[in-house]
Amino acid sequence: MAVELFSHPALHTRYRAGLCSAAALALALLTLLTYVPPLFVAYRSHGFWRKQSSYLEQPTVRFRYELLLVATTGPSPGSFLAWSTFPAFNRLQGERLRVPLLSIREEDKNQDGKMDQFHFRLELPLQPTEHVVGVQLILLFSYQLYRMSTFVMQSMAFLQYFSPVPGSQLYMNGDLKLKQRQLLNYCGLDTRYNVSLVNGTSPFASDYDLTNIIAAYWDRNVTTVFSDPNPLWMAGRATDTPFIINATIHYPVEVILYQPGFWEVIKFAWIQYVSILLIFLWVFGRIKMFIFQNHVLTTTSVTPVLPVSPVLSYKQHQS
Amino acid sequence: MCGVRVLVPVLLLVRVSAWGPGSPPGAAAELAAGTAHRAVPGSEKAASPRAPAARALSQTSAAGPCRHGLAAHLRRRAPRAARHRASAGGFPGRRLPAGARHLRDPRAAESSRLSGGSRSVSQMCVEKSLLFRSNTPYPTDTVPAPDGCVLFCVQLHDSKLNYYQQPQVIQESDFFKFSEKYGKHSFIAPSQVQPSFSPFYRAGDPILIYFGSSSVLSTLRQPVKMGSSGLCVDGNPAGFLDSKSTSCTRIFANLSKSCVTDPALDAASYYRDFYVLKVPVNDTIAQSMKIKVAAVAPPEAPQIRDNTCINVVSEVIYEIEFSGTHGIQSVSVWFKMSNISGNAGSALQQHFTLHFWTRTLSHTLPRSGNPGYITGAPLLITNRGAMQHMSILQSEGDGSCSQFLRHTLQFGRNVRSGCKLSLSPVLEESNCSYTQQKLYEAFQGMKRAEDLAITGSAHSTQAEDWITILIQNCSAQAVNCTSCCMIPLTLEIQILWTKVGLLSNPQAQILGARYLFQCHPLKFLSTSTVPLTTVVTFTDMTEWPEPPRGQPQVHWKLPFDIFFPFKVAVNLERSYRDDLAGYFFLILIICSILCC
Repeated sequence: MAVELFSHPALHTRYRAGLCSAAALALALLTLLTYVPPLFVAYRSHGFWRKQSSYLEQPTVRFRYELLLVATTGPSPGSFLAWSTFPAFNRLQGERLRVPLLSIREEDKNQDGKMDQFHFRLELPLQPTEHVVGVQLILLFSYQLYRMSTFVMQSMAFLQYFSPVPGSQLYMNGDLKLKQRQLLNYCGLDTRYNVSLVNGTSPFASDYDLTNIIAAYWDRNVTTVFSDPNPLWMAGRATDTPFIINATIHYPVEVILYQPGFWEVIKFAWIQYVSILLIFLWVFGRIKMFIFQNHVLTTTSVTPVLPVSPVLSYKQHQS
Repeated sequence: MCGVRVLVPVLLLVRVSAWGPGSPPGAAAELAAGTAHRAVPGSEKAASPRAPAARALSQTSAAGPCRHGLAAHLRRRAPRAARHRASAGGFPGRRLPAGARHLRDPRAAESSRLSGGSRSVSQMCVEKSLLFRSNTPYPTDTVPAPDGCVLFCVQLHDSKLNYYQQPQVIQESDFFKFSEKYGKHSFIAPSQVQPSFSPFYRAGDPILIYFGSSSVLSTLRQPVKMGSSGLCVDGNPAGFLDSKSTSCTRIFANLSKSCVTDPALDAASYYRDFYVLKVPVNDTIAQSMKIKVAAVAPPEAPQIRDNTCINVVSEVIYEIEFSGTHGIQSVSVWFKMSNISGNAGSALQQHFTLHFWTRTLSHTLPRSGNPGYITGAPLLITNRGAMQHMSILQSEGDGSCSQFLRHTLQFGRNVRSGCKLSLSPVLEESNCSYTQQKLYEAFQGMKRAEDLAITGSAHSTQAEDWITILIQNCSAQAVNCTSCCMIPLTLEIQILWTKVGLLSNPQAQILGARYLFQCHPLKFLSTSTVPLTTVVTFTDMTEWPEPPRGQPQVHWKLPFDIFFPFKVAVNLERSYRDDLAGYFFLILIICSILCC
């Protein structure tokens, strides 16, 4: 059983005409129509040049062992307790300084070398007459991305909760999410934001003001936020027990937007152009064949002599 | 040949549609009907595979008694006469469910709509010998054709004339079966299993107690905090072999009254008037089953004195001896007492600890892992053979260093604590070495740690389970000021650990520990109180094996994601892989047959 698998035209016919003839003009026009419109189609249907692209990466996040805590203990403006890892800030607090007990663990759950979770526990000792009604806490992290460009920054998680009821414990559990206002580069090293958020060497109180710290931080185009914290405020503190902040921060895999490089842009444009061009080539090939085979335009056709078939070549000589 | 070529992809198509997990079984049936129609030569173009009133499922071969075979007939007729025939002879034996009879009779509606007799219904007829599945609740009709065939007719392309599937008739016996099959989540609670008493306690079982005076069986309670207030929930049962500590808060609106009436404050209520049952028993309780709770130094009942409630229970510690399946052998209880001042809204935090022990294991402290340390477990240290937990300085509510309370370290957690220590009683001695000694004592506690357990299951008598803690104190740091009195202000505890053993079951092991004291000259201190800081750092120095860490694999000298799409397909379609492979081979076989 034999089936036809493939066939190709045996005759390679050539058509000849003058350089300024109608046929030559038409051929030039057809060629132009074949190659230029696919470009317009690809461009006008949007997405020809790839302006942004995205990839997934779990960031390498490490706690910097720097934090700043302000615990509000009452409605009057002066009633708060504060502590930080910055000695200058602690010196400014005077009587309101209260040293907490900190317990921290970073956990690599899937053992891929990158931390996945951050467990934070802070026990703020309180006198029997003191009650915590609100907490503001800044935790500082170093945040690094490696897959496309090496992006290194210092970032923060801001935890805040206020309650009308004096509390004994605050539990929070959420993600440290990346927030981008700007595309990252596709290669190179980006250390624009690898500067400390809190100037720990400064003796001035304004450098430790939460308003200034947060305002400066949100001027950045790339930041992290502690999102979906699910705060649980527990009341009912016994007089001799500390106030406890218990937080778990996850470091999730992020979708990172970046500016594609030259070859990536060219590659995707080429794919789009050629795929549309193929259709045009086929259509205009048919049109050309129709025009020349049916002698719509004046040309001289030259058919090659086939050596295998002398009868056929003889007949063609006759014509 | 041509026919075979067409049919093979069609059959494959049918199988593919049946793969979809969400597609109803009707989809496959419709498709089968569609292919049957497509296979019909002649006027099958007019037939829709989705004939509305009768969803056809062809089950027979394409052979019929009629001369024109499967040709579908398109006919126009006045419906009333045909229906009359149908109700007379139509489809016998089709039992209607009771509910369907109460539905609006479409016959009445249709006859009123068509009462003029001017409109006719376009119908599609096929030969009766084919088998059909009809989901209309009403009798369908068949029409005799002039050439002796019997035709089955349906109306074409009217989606309003499609019906629900007929409901099943529910017998008493299969009510449960259908409610199980169709029932989703509801407020019907699943049936509660009655607790059964096993002949011995298993880990986590509640411990039964027996009140002799009222012959009431109950469980030993371990109050725990619950909800947003952290107040005590007294009903929480203690679990057998579940050694743990809980704490919770009690708030007293009227302390002078609660002081003498609240049983939670009275030590007697934690051991008097009840027995712990040796093993759980259901019915008669023999005397040998009952174990009296022995109170160690039983305190007196609380009482009010000068607006202060004295002798209230602040901590309850049960020591329970067990012996395998023989159950509980003895129970003793310890109390820690405190006083609460009687202002309104005063609160008390109570601690409850259950500790299970057995004579066969002579561990004085519970293990911190077996063998490797468990994250969060306390670190074991020894001081001249006495095992205890490593602890650091902790501050009181006013920020001063606590004399008695120390924070127990947990494996894997980096800690920082600070407090202020008053040097005024010490400085009167004006002896540098004495001051230094007092500060070292404050940092390390009364019992200085000498050795640290390498693993969580270290035995105090086995020397290879322990390493000596390196201590670097102030004497090494007084280099440029020989006359100064260097006193330690910061203690850095550095612990190096690693994971050892199988990758699938890593065990944490401590490799080394160091106490590093950061010292300052005493003369620079402006006040008589010094801030003391303790910092604990756990450093993981695990050496990982060469990647890949999973199963041994062929090492390709290729980028790691070069076969990415194939890997994804294999992972996602694992369940369909056999099917896919089967059909791939089928296609290959068919192709090879066709091409030869």
